[in-house]
Amino acid sequence: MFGTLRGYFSTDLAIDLGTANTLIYVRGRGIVLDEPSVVAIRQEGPTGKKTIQAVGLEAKQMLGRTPGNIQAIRPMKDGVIADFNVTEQMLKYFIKKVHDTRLFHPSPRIIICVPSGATQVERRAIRESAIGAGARQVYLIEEPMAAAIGAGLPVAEATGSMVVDIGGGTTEVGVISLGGVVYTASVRVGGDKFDESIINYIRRNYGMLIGESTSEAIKKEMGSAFPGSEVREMEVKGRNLAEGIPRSFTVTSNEVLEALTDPLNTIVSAVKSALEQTPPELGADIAEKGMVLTGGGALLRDIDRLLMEETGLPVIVADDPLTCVVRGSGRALEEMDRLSTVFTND
Amino acid sequence: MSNAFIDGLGALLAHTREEQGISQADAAQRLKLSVRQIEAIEAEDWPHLPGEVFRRGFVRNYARLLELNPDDLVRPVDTEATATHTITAPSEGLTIGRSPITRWVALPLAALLLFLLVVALLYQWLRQGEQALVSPVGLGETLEPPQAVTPAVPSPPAESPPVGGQQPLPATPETGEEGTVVLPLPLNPQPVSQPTSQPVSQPSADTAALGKAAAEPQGKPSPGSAPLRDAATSGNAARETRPAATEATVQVQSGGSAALRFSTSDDAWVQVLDGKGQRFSKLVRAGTQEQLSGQPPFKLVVGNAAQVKLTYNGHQIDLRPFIGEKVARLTLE
Repeated sequence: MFGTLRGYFSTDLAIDLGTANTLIYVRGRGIVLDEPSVVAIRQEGPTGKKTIQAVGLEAKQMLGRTPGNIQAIRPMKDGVIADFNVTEQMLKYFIKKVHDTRLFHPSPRIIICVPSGATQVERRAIRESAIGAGARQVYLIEEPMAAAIGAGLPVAEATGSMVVDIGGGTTEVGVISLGGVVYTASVRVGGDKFDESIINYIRRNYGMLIGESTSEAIKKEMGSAFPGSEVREMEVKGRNLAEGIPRSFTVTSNEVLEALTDPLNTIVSAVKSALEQTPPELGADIAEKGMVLTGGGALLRDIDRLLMEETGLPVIVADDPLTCVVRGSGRALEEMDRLSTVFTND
Repeated sequence: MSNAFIDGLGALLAHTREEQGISQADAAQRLKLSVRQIEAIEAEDWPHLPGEVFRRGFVRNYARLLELNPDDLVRPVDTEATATHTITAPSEGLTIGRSPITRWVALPLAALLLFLLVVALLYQWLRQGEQALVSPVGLGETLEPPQAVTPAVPSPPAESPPVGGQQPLPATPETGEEGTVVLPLPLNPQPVSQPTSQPVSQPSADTAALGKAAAEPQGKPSPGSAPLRDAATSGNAARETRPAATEATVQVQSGGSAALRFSTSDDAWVQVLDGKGQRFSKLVRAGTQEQLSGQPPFKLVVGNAAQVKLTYNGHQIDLRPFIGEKVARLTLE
């Protein structure tokens, strides 16, 4: 009823609702929020009433360390919503957080990213979730397009540009020309799958069970996508499956590379498939300029080298790859009139 | 274009490559670039290379190949988006969903404010209507400036009637502190005939007829004739048996004005039409007095008449015989 009025007191937002992190760009101010997409929920009393205990970084620190009455939930999975209500509450909290005004509930216009492989149901869920969180109007933008804009690729020109966005839940491959997506592919492999592969590898080869946080630490510390000259080691603590007692052991970078082989091969296959599907003129442009890596997965050591060797094309990592998607969405927000074609209609 | 890189970038890269014994073709093969592109980088021939994003990536890759620190060669990208302050989301004091203030206080508060506004507007409207009701009706339209004012008739009964020979100039009513209103008086008043009423022409018959059940607490009947006409309630006089009723005295001022005085113990509406057609209407407030003079006969309509004491030329008139519902209608001659 008062949406228009409240709109005057709200600022437009671009949100990268990622599996691992949620970033918010505010028009005219830039990126103002970068928090893990984690919500901790406490169940109270005999009635079982649920309240939000923590959101963001604090909730992430609770992952795997919660008592019985607290659940640390990652409401996004594989790039899409796994828990609608918790996602809505998380968005509501973040939106409220980035607004200074306390008089009115914010009712902003929101640009929100969706994986290109998301189904209509999944897109609808994201849209409804944002509206439920107080958005006045919701525009959806596909992640490859947002990543390409954020990386600074010439998306509006008549030249082909290829972007590979390796996120927490999905890897998006897109070929873009003249402001539109020529080809896009999405595989549900990303940082989470890397962690999962490391956990499985260590359980299989060492008989040890480690948690997600430890696995992520291993990946960041010595994860690599291409064999290097230097072999690094790391001491890891976990629970021995046979004895049931916590033990520590040492993992090498080569073992991590071996563990990551499967998800990396999936990404390489997706990129090769995209190149096969790309029209020849655009393929020539890509051969000249190469492809651009964005997303947190681009920070995996030597992943550009892997793709370079596998495809024989130049591969470059974008500046500040973690924020490319939200920066691209933010630029689409700032130049909504000029970049109106980049939004999806469904 | 070259702002993205340090000065002498191409020469540094070429020099380092030669030091390490790597040919341009070898570097191109390992970076998956063409030899032409390697030459362009070393010559800083930026127009022959793709856009800035790609140039930065190529130089960074080239630097890594030559085991140089890319950050020393490539200036940080000027992204205003990353320069702004980033806020974190502390979970302390977390409130999710609609706050109780909004739900339980704000809406009732808004409703209360709206209600108060409506009440205030209604009160203002009623006050305006009341003021319009209290103002004299019709006098301002028919009366004229104050220099033609007939001397006001002070309170009876000691006051003698006004001088009969005075010019009957129309006058603006003069409302004094006690609410005295003076109406214009003609030289030769003509009694108004009332075909539907029974005129009482005998000078003393009025007191005999109407004052038979009434005491005479004050004053004596005037020697003059005072026909009293009751248009509506003449038959009700027999019902009046209360001894406290004041006398109904009618006095005729031949060739002069007559004075009426109303005093009420409660708000009462009074309308007087004198023999010249001048009309006086007013709400007489409780505890106040209203005095006026004019040319008889007077047609009176007195609302809430039970609370009104009427004095006609110093003689109190009992209104009760003339009260219908609450309104008394009578004619004084």
